[in-house]
Amino acid sequence: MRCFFRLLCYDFRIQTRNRAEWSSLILFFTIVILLLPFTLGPEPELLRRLAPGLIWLAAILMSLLSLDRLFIQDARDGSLDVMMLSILPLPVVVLSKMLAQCGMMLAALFTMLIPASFLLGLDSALLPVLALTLLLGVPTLVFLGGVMGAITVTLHRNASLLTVLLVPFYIPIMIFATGACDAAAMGASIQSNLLLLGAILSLVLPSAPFVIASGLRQG
Amino acid sequence: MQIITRYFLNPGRFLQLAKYLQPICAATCFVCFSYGLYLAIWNSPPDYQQGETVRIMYIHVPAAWVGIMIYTAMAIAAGIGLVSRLAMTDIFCVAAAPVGAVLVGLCLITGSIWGRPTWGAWWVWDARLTSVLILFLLYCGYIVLRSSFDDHDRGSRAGAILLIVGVVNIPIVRFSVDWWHTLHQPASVLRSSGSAIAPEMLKPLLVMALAYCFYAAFVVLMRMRAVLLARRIEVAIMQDTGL
Amino acid sequence: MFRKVSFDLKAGDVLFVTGTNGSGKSSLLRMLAGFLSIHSGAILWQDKDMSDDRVSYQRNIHYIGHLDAIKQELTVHEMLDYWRTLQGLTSVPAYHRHDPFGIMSLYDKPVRYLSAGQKRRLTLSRLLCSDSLLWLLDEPTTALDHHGQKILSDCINEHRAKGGMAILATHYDLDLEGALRFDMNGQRP
Repeated sequence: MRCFFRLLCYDFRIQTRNRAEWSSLILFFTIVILLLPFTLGPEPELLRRLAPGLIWLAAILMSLLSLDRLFIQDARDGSLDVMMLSILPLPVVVLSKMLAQCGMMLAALFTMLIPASFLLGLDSALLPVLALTLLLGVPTLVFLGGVMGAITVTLHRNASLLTVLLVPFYIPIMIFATGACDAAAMGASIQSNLLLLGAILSLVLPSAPFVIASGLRQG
Repeated sequence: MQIITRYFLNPGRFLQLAKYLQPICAATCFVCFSYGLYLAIWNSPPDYQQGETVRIMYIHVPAAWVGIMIYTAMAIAAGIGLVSRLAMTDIFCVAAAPVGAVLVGLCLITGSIWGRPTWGAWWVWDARLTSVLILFLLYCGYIVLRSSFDDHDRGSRAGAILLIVGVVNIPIVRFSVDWWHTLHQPASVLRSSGSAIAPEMLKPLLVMALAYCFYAAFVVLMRMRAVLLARRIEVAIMQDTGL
Repeated sequence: MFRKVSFDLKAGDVLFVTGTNGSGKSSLLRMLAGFLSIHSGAILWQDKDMSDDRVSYQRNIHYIGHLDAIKQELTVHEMLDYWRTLQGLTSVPAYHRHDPFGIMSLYDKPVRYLSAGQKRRLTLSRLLCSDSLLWLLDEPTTALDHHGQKILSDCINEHRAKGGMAILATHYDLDLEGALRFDMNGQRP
């Protein structure tokens, strides 16, 4: 157990020191948010209504970019071999990596949440709901991305392959997340959507490390 | 069970069996399609609300059924393949994927054509349509994933994981009309309280479903033979170049 | 890939796997490490088939491949500590007491500033992070200078004296007495 926490600390350290990567991801998120008013037209009312969905869209695009490099870096520098030969069970090692990636994604998104909501004119009352949906949804995005990344780790990375594989799984998450925000905007109950998000998370979180470990071993 | 083990899991015997089965499937498919279309177009009543446009149902619904059945079969084969490492399960999945994709695509397109006069829209984002679209994307994702791998062993295992993770979508497709308020018609054929559809409409529906099944069997058998032979050629080439 | 490969190793043995480029040395080592699947034949560890319990077999081996499995973002001592955590060790590091490769002089340096030879020494120090019985080394002498190769030979001899085994795939001849040899080029179909 102590090993797991130490491993987690190191994985976090590796993530946080990789400043170039995360700055470019945050920049990408900002650019998407900035471009949207230009494409949709600057009417504040329209942007305000669409803001939760647009922020989620930017979050998904950002996560697709960041997940692309999740295991590929380890495969390229040979760390995958070390991980597979470790005394600790492979699902545990994978879980630590995923949690570190989740943590960084959430940190990056929460940093950008307030500026993004300003730019799109999001209702401040919706901010907690949006944050909650991100908290429930982003770990699912990362863990599912880990699954697809693990099975494609031996391929020469084709940028759009991971996107094609992940989109069918990301669609329901986006639907429930934006559904919760829309319900909150209309004053209706957000419970059902949040419960569904939570259910998906509770299904994915325990099973994904094992699926990822088996995918890495097969490859 | 014995038949499956003897004929379907042994590539050599499978090739012999497929040569016989293929024309049988093709002929039965032709007969079923002819009879089914005759029943659908001439011998079944128009709907009291929708009129003649309901006849699209006889193309749309069986395509959906068979498309979903093919995905389920692929997922089961993938699971067996992961555990037992049989090559034939992978060949089945690779062969069946485009067939399933085409059928689900057909379902989406005919559904859209049917939706225009009935609902007034080419597409609505309700639970049933979205989950079927996700099924179509899963098929496409599987095809793209499998074609990216040069090594068939690795590719089959990767594809199997994708299929098994995506099988969660199948119950959602089936029950989406019950769990959410959707524009799409609720289940009327396979229900616990018995079928709600008129028998004159049920008969062409079932005949068409049978026709689609035999069509799928015919094409899948043909593709399985092709994939099997292509792999044998690959192995021969590799041995020839001394790899 | 290749056929008719067969050898036995006992405690204290060293095996040199030689062969031209493309003869399958790396693939053989990866198969022995359990990374590649075997189509025919078996790897027996202590008279039991390896594929029956791959995970516990992999705990007895240490594999070092062509690539240095080092993370650019960490410093030298963090990298070693990371490897030790992966091996489940939390006690006082052995390399504080015994540092044959001389990397403790680079204790706080970020890994990205090391030269290729220093990175290779760091990777080889990983061998000391665990008590594995079998060492699988694929081209360990890449980027190592003469002094480094001498240190590696000494390490391997120490390991053999403790009852360990080593299989090396290399073009360079390290000075190891009583080493067995196996030539991949004799095995091509």
